[in-house]
Amino acid sequence: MLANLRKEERSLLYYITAFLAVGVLVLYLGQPEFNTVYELALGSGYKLPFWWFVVILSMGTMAGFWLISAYWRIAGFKCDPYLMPITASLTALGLIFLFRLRPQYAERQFVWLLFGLLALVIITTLLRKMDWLEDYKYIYVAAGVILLVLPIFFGREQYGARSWLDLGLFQLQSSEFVKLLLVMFLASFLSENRRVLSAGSDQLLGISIPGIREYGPLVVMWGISLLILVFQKDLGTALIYFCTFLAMVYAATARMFYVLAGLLLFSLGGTVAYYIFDHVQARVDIWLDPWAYSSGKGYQIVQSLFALGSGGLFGSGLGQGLPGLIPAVHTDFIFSAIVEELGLVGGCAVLVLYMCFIFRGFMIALTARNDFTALLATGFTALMGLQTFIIISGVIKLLPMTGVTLPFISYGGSSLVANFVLLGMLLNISHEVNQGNETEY
Amino acid sequence: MLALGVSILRGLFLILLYLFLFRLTVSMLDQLRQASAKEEPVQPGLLKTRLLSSGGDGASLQVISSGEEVIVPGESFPLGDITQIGRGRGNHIHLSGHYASQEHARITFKQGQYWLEDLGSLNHTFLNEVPVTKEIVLANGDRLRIGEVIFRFVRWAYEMESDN
Repeated sequence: MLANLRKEERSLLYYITAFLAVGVLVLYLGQPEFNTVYELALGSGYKLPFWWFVVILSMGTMAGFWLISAYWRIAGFKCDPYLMPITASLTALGLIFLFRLRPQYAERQFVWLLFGLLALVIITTLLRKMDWLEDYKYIYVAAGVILLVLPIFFGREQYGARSWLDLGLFQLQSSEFVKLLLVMFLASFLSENRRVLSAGSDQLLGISIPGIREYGPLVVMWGISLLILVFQKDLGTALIYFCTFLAMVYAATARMFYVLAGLLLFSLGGTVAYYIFDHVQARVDIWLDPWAYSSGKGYQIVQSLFALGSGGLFGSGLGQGLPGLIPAVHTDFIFSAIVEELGLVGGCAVLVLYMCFIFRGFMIALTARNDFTALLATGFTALMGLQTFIIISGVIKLLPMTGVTLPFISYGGSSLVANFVLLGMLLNISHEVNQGNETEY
Repeated sequence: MLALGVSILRGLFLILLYLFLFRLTVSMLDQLRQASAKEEPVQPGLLKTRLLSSGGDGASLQVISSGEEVIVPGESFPLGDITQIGRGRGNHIHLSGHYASQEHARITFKQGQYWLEDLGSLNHTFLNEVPVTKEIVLANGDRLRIGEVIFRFVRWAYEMESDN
């Protein structure tokens, strides 16, 4: 089995190549008259026919994934064979929908994708042994806090959240990378204090709680996520941070008490935020009754609901829906576009893809060699799952809408690169699980 | 005609997505089955692969306290000519905690003495709470600490002498 890891990966990649090719063909045959000249936004005005542009980008994407698989085979990287094809399928689906919805963004996404793949190669080459990462936990905190604070002072406000850093050439959403640092810090902190946290040293109302040195950092975490909520107006990110944090504490200690206490604290904080801050209140009001604001604040969510509903069981067919009506359809609301055009069937397929990703992630965590890597894998997987859950439930109005990206599918450069870094770390852990680092015996 | 072709292709697009999912799930299930089939013979074997090294004169390392599941206090490891301690599988005393390096320390029997040597570990080997920097002779009753695991060096033959 271990010898066939890369073979398995390649046979799965064939399906995705075919999938992307059929998708592009459908788009082309659906509107061949759309053969306008496309001007590259990033290539200083270089012009080429639109369909050539689409074909070149698709081939470039698949070539990237194939080359990485080939590189891993040569380099003897024994990672999980499923995660990369799952990622490739999500990326391919995202690209097809970006071609269809906003070609300019597809171009940018492609450039970011190249950066992401580069990051994946670098990480799977340099970071194969991850144990030493455990020793630098307070550096992660420092770096994370700096990255979070910078946008508050120097950031620009976009889509109602102040979380973008303007770097001239491009904009960076630093909170996407802080997520990874957060997981690394928590994995390191919890693997060290696991025993104290799960046993507890003091008693309070019959429940044993550990001393301040152990739970202090955790309370600070709660404070930080609420501060992000307040200053950056970034509700989705705050929610993801906090839920990832709870998931990891639970994984480390197996005590429901922490989860319940955390949820209680968060709902307390959330209630207070609802009464103090207008933007929180607005989100919740829209969630409770979008129809009352259907021509104003609630327009986006109402259009999304229409799109989901009109999709039906099999959808309107790729290239035949009207998802362009939803504002920000290429980032936050791309799931509505997918469901409108591919129907319930397509939407479920996307969900199952994410489930497979999460399944593999937790399998890696279960087989991991030590506490630190096990918690790291749990945290990264939980992060991925929670982000997917929060954005999809926002789009379908299960939770108040919070602007986060759908991993690997939506347009969003920082998010895409950060997710590839996450993938690289998971693969490194699975490489260690498969005894890729064993040189002796 | 073209319209029909496009509709078929649209269907194919979804079908391909599901084919991929099907192939993925089947393969993952296979992998699970193989893993569970493999685990049964391997798992007990793993515990038994405690490598025994021959030689020595019957001294042993006794576990006093341990924060690890694999090693229980009271357990005793006989020391041979060469005893390697570390996290790697090739070690005679296999530690699982993250304080131990792959090859952490080595105890060798030469010239009638047991010599302890740190193999460049990250978190050091402590002999009676002093970090080991060069090869050093062990005496009966010495406390040897690696991370959270504490051993006592027991050498029955010389018990009387070293206790004095």
